[in-house]
Amino acid sequence: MILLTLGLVVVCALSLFLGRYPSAGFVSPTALREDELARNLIVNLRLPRLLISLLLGMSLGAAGQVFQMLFANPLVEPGFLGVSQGAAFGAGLAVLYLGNSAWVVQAMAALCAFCGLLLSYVLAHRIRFGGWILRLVLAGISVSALFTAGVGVLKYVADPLHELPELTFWLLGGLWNVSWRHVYSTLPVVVPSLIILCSLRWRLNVLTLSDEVIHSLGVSPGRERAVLLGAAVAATAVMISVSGLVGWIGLIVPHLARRFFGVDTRISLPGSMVIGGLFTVICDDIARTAMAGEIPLGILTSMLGAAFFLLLMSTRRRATVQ
Amino acid sequence: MSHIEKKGAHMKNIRTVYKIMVLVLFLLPGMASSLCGLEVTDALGREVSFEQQPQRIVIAGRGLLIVADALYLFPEAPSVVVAFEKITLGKGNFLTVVDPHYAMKTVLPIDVGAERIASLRPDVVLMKSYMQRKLGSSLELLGIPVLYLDFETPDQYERDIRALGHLLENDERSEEIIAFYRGRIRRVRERVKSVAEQEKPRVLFLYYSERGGSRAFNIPPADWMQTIVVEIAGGIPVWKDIKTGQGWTRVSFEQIAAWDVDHIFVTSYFTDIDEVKDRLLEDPLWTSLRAVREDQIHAFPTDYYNWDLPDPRWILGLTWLASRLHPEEFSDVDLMAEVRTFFRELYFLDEAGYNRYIKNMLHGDLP
Repeated sequence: MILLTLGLVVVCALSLFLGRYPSAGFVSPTALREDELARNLIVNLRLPRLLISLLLGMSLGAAGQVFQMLFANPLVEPGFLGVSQGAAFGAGLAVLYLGNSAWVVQAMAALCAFCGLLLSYVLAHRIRFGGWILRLVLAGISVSALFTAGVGVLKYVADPLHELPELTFWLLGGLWNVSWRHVYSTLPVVVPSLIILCSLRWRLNVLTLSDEVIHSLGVSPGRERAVLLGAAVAATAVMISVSGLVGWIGLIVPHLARRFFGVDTRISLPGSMVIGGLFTVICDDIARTAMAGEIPLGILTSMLGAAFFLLLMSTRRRATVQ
Repeated sequence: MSHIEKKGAHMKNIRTVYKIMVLVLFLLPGMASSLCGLEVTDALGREVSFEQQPQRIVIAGRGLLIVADALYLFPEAPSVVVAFEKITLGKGNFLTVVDPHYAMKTVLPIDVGAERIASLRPDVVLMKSYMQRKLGSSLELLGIPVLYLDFETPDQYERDIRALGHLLENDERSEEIIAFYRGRIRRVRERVKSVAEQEKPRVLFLYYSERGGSRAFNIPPADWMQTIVVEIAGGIPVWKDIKTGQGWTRVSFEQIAAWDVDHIFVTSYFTDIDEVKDRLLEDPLWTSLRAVREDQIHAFPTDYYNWDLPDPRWILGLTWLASRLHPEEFSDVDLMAEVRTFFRELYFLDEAGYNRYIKNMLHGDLP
């Protein structure tokens, strides 16, 4: 864990010097001293973008771990309860009909993400069969499908020359327009959410037990789950509203964290955050540096994440000597 | 009749038959043509036949404003066009200026289907060639003639203008239009040919887009008109060797700064270009670029439509761009007179019409 954290710090530091200016690659400290534009670029473009990609990865990684533990399902990810698709729908509505303000897009994305979560909860209460987790899963799938249909309608009515390309690029995910404004708007929600998740991480081990056992241990499962889910969804919704849809991080990173650190969430949750942050920063570095044109971040996280995941899952874990 | 006389008569008959055969062979194509009426070769190399000159033309599919604006270069257009899809690009509807019967035309919804078009009983439907799979093939199945056009490069302009001239049986007009374009292109080429390759300015062309509060800068592909025009105008398009997709490619500010070009041309299709330039000039990152410090950031002109699009106005964009890159070579060219001449000769707009419809629509870095 310490090595991984050190690795994250080193990657972040190197990322500040990596880019397309003055040429593709690293900018030397000498050039940095002499070139005011280079310094400006690092402070006003690269640094906020680095912070957002770090927060994005940490949020999605932590939220993914929480979701997979609470739902006891290794296939769920943070956008599961209609959160991702709700955010996409909200952002699409704002892009097409509510003007050009970035605040409106962010607010609508976050609002609709929470609406997705709320709708999933309400529907789950109305389903008459199965345990609570099953009902929540079914409700989440339905709500996601509804919002997906809504996004489809928005894409259909969007102006193909002007609005549709903008919407499509947002749906693919990317941090191409991130500035300090986005950092200021996301920090007040994301940092407290991550602190809550970290401080309650050991509870996740307990919440994987049956409700009867949890009660007998003096823990209120409903309240605990709500707090953890709320914090996870809050961080996810706010970050999606800035980055667009960036998939696979919340799904794959928890698996990687459990692979490296085991299932104990006291270690695997912080591990998810560190791995998520590291993975997202690396993907964003590639997205903005590999080619002259920006590569949508969501494409890279899906491609590299899936490849790395397959590689890891197909290699046998080395047996530890007790 | 003796044997020799019989043979002579026989040979005479054979010669007569041969003459009739030769005559028929010469006349047959003409006869066939008059039976078929008209044959036009479209952008996909298809021969489209008509019994007579089309009297009901529908323009449909994406990019239709380019086709429509080219069709309206012909005086027959207002009387034969019956419908077109809604045009969403631009700062107004230029067709209302050039078509006195516009109010009587049918405006179709975007992405209109074949059935709706068929209900208008068109004699021909004009569309861009990339619409064949999505729309054209359905119309062809219904037996409705479709003429595919491109209008994406100068060479395609000549070819497709000729096709339209043939369709409207006004080849003379198509040659006039082609001569106009050739003359302007030749003038630019001749004036910039003395500029050595290593002295040619490095140019960046950017499309500024803004949606949801986020702004983006995009570069065109190498085979688009914007890139071609920069090359004809004697500039070096720095983005040409980059592998882009089929459409606009987003680039970061870092990449823009890394190119460190001599000239930056900015266009915007949905935001006022003068406002865009002002915003860039207020941005401390942009003002640190060499091209901006040297006052070589240019707002691409526009009236109803942008002059960088492969609309007929691209010839104005070429002249303007060349005058910006090589001002000393074009110091004698009165650009505003060029604009008047363009609308007068190509769209039959007199001085009063120009002042009423065009003058107040002009934006960008114009004298």
